[in-house]
Amino acid sequence: MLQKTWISVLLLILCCCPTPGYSAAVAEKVFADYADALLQIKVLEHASGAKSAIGSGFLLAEPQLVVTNYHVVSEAVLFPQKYQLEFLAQNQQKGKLEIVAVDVVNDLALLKTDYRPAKSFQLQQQVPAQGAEVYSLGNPHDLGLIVVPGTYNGLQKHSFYPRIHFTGAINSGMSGGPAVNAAGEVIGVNVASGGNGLGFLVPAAALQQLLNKHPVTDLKQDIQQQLISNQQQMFQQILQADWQLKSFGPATVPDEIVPFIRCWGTSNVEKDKDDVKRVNAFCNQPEEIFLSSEFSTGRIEMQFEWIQAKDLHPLQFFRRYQQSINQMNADNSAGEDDVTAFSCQNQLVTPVQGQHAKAVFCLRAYRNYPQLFDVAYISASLDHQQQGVISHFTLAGVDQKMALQFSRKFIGAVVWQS
Amino acid sequence: MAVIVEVLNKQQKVTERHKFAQQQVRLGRAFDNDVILFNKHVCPYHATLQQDQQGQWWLEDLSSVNGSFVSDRKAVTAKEPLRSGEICWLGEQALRLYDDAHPVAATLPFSAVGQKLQALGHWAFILLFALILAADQVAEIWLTLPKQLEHLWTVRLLDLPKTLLMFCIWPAILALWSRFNQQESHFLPQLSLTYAALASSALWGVFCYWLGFNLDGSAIAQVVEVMGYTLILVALFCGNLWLATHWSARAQVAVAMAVAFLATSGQWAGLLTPASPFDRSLHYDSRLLPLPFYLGKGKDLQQYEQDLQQLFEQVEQQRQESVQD
Repeated sequence: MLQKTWISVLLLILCCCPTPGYSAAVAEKVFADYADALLQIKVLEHASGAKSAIGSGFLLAEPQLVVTNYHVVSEAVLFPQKYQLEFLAQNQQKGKLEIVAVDVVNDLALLKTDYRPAKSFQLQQQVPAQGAEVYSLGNPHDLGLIVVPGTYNGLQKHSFYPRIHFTGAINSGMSGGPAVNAAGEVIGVNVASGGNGLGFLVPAAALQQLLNKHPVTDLKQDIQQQLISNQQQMFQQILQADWQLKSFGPATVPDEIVPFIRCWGTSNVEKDKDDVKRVNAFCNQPEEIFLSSEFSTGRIEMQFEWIQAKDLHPLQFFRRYQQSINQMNADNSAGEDDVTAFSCQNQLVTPVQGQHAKAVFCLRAYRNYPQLFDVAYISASLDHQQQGVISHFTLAGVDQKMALQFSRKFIGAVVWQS
Repeated sequence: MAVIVEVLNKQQKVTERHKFAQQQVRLGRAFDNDVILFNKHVCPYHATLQQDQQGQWWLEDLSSVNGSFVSDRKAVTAKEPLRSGEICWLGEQALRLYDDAHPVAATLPFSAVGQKLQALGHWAFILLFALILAADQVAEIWLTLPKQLEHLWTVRLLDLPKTLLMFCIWPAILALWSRFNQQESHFLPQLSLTYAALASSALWGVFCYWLGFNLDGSAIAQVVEVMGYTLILVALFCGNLWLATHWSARAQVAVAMAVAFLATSGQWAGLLTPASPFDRSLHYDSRLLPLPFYLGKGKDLQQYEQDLQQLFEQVEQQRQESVQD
């Protein structure tokens, strides 16, 4: 009896605390098994023959394609005349790669190659258990291929895009490498580092969807379709949601209207010296879609400011009030070849009977992705002599219908409670 | 028949005028000459002017160190004839000879405009314009200075005399220029004119602020604003030139317009050239005034949305044009 108890206690200890030695051994085995299927992906410029980007990739067994991140190979997708792709395997084999399909929303790319290693990767079919051991493989900083052990922590909360939360240090050059379970099955693709041993993986399910879709004939048109349908999904969720309004000074403004939009606030109330009191609230969907090193899209941002004065002449107050609306900027970066210049429309509007606001609506179009726009909007209420509410939003990569519907709902939600 | 000898400066403006009844006039630096010259390159006994039997005047060089010259810089070897109104040089000193029958230019009548411009030089006008300028600056400080920085009022107010003094430089330059041209300097009228232009710019700025807010920052309001500033400058420069020169009215207006457009060229370029694709910033009119200052009614949401639809179409058109390029 005693002996049985001892054995079960021993087993329990063994099961609960897998020692570092155990984990390192598994890592070594996984690495040894699949080393030849792990590739370093290089983007080379035709003219100079020099590396312009570097990342990791891996070969799948079925279909026999190389998987990497879109952001690793984006230059070769956008400027095929200028860049070409090459791989370097652990066994020093080299070869050319050709792009078959990309998914910019999930930052994935599929590439074709003739290279056939002894053993290629398989996708894991089930979702891993919380806390399961995961090994992220890749090629950080051009130092050679390495293994980083870590833990599966489920899908990232408050994110519109499905991303696996991985506790382990993913570095920039590991982008595009696989994250595998102890059996060597791929559970996701390394995509981003959150810093401090926090990493994110694109789940294998998203990769499976792209595999079902390939090959694609016109990559750029396909990217446009992905952007259009992604923003439609995102904005449909936002527009269909029952917007939570919070009272904000004398008005109501939208709060965390969908789970993937988070809000914060600040104020200068404690500073008694200021002649105007400012209260700020800020909400955003911070995740960007990478299109090129200069061009990102997909963010949503909303900002509110309540400004209130005591003992100021209305003209004095409005001059200070004006300073709060004179520096609006786009929330996403874009190069001059990516977008048109902003055009702005300036108008005094009456959103509700008896309420007046000055509204500025600015718009720029995506040159290469028709029907998509960046929008920046700011408005200042004008009905009071000593206080006002400024409401502002920017949308990146929306179509006209979604932008107008969002604007209508937003303007309707910012109302004075007099 | 008497002869008039004019001593000219480098700009060929008259500095001295002598009239002689005799038939020989001695020129040089020595004190026993008829015309005593200053220029160090002129010899003590440099040349003489002599009238012959026919009444013709001759310039005779007295073997001077630096020579004498007549029209077209022709060197005088022995002597050269001089016509009435002709310029000659002793070294680099220019002289002009007239006989007393030489016709003079018609009398310049007083002009109504010129007199009004001069009347502007009255101290009451200068004070009035300076007060308008001061009021504009005080209003700006009152509008923008935060309560917690109220102790800065005096410092900011000290800028006022500085600004007023700074804008004395332009009329001072004009006055000097007039003096150079041997005309009345007209410093006070020029100063008054400059302050008047500044004061009207300030008032125009206030009006355009209101106009821009009322027209919802439309392009028309911006064009009107820049046009106003340009007109004020044209008027200022016309007045300046009228006081400082005797050019023809057409030349004055042409020069004034050229300078005014040059001075406002930056603003015009900003209005007339399309937005650069390299420009990532947003350009919009952020001017805010309390609601009673807005004369219109404002648009309801439905009308606003129609405007926005038009904006989308317009931007889409821009995109298509840029893709075709």
